[in-house]
Amino acid sequence: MKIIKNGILNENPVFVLLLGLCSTLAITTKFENAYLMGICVTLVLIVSNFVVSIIRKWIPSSVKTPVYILIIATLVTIMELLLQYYARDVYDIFGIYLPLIVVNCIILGRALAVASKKTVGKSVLDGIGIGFGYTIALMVIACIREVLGNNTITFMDSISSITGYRAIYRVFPENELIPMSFLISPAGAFLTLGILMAIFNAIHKGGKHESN
Amino acid sequence: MKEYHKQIGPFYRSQKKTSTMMMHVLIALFPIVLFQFYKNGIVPYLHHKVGLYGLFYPLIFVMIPPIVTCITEWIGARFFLQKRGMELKQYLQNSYALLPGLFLALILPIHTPISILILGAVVASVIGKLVYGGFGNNIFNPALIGRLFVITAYAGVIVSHGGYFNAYEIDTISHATPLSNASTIEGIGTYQTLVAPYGTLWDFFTGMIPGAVGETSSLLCIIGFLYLTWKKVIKWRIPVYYIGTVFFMTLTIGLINGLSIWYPLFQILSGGLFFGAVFMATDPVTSPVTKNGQVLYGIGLGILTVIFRYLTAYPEGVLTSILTMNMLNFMIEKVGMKCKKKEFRLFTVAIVLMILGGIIYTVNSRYTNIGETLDPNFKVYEEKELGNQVIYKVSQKGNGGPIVCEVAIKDGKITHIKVLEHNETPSYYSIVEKEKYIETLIQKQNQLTELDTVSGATISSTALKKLVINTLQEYEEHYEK
Repeated sequence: MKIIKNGILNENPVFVLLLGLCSTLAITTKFENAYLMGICVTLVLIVSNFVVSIIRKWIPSSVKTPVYILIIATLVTIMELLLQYYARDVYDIFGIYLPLIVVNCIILGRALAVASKKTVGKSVLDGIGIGFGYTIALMVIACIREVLGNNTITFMDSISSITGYRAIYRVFPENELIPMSFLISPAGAFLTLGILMAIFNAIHKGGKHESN
Repeated sequence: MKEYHKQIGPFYRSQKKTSTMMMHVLIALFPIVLFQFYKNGIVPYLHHKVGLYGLFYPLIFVMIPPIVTCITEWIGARFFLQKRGMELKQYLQNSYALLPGLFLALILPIHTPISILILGAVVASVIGKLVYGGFGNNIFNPALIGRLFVITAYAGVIVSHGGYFNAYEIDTISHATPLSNASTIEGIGTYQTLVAPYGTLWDFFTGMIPGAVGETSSLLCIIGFLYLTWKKVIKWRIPVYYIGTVFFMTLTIGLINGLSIWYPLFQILSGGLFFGAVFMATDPVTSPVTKNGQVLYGIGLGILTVIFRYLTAYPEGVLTSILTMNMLNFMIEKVGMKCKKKEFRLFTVAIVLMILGGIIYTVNSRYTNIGETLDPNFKVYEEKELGNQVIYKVSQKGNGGPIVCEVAIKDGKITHIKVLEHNETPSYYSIVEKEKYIETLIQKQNQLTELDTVSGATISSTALKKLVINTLQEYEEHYEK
């Protein structure tokens, strides 16, 4: 439990470690994209941490990075093929960002920092924690960007072919200030991320001081 | 025993406090505020275009943002900066809390809705100033940050409220602002197409042309400049070199294309260049302190403005170039320090001249190309005759690739246009659809060169417009002869 909490708060990959920002900034234009991406990364992360942790004693340290990349790439390719077959719409909206999970630094970072040193159980738990942290961060950013930038919130659209439901809601009534299309653009992504990061760190560090 | 206070820049070798400097800037801005009241309030009122509220609306418009920035600044200083040991009272006395708001109001279109205006003012003082640690630490001009935010986020909304035109102009002038009008003209333009629609160059000088609220009057900006220079509040080198560079470059471009002195005058008098140069570029915090640095800063601004005006889709380049140069400020300061050495100065001058020459050459080659050959971005796929109707399948390159359309022409008149496929950014393209631009194109097909593009979606709408013009040209070549 402590490890999972650590992944969400103390070492939140987006707000504290600043890892995997490329996909964070690019994919968070819709709430749906954000949680789907979060799930994909979490799955890859858990399995890769598990595999890396199992074989950690047999890999000489001089070749460990290429080996880990190979493992991650295999996992991502499997994920890609599965999505392409079972969820074509999701595969389409991710586009290049799905294969790019391979170079998402969160996964390699956790493999190098945690999975190659700790036991299997701890590594998997770390994968779950960091994955949750990443997913939650993505969901918060996407929620703000989509609601303010497009005045909608999309729970299910591309995956409606699997679930059978479509759920897109308008949030605010017609007005001048919203939608603020600026937030959907890349510059808006940076702005949102920056502000959220500031708030997150202010609250989080504030809490620490009190406990001291 | 002496007491020492920790203070942040700007530092001046004088007895003046920053608060007295602010007073001088306000005095210099006062005629401009009055003038915009006359232009946007009194003139439409005298022509019975607006009521009593419309008469005083321009004054309300410039009063709201300063109040908002003052309040935001107070809250920010009270809750964030005071914690770091900053004296609240002293800080507020020295920070120009009023000015970003006032400037913001003066560089926005008159039809910006009040709610957006307030949001812009909050963004200006929070993101432009407070997040950097308050006055003296900001790298960008706060007012420009506010404007950038408002224009990028709400261009469509502002246009749908009326954009840059005040109630009187909207009836008398059927064009865009001078520079966006100039950018839609193929080639470099003539006096008839560039200046005549807005009156004479005298109108440009006094400021009776459409534009942002307070930026149009070059005359009052010059008066403000003289006053501020006399009081030693601003650095005179920046505006002089800025305007000088733009004048020199456009003069050269004009002369090569056979245009006389009116052309550079038109270029420096439009687009709020004087306002930007005198009031925005000389902001004490974000502009260089060294003399050589100021010269370089001014020249750099001039070069960027010319680049933005001629080579990009965003013709109003003054404020964007000031933001860009703000970013390079620290570098210019370093170069400025080194320029005290003679060899280094020669080296810098040589580089500047090379850049100037290169840009003039690029602009010229680009503009002569457009005049001579058919648009390379235009393509005809198919040409069908159905009775007395001719149906074209054509494409024009837009922002995200070709926009493919079906255009039906009957007896030299376009009867309908249907977009078959396009790859434009949805948020921009939706503005084009919302404005019903395609319907407008069909309606005004006889006066296409004078038709406005949709601001907020300039590239997409320009592409559509060019597509129609090119198709008509294609039709004329085949059938009218």
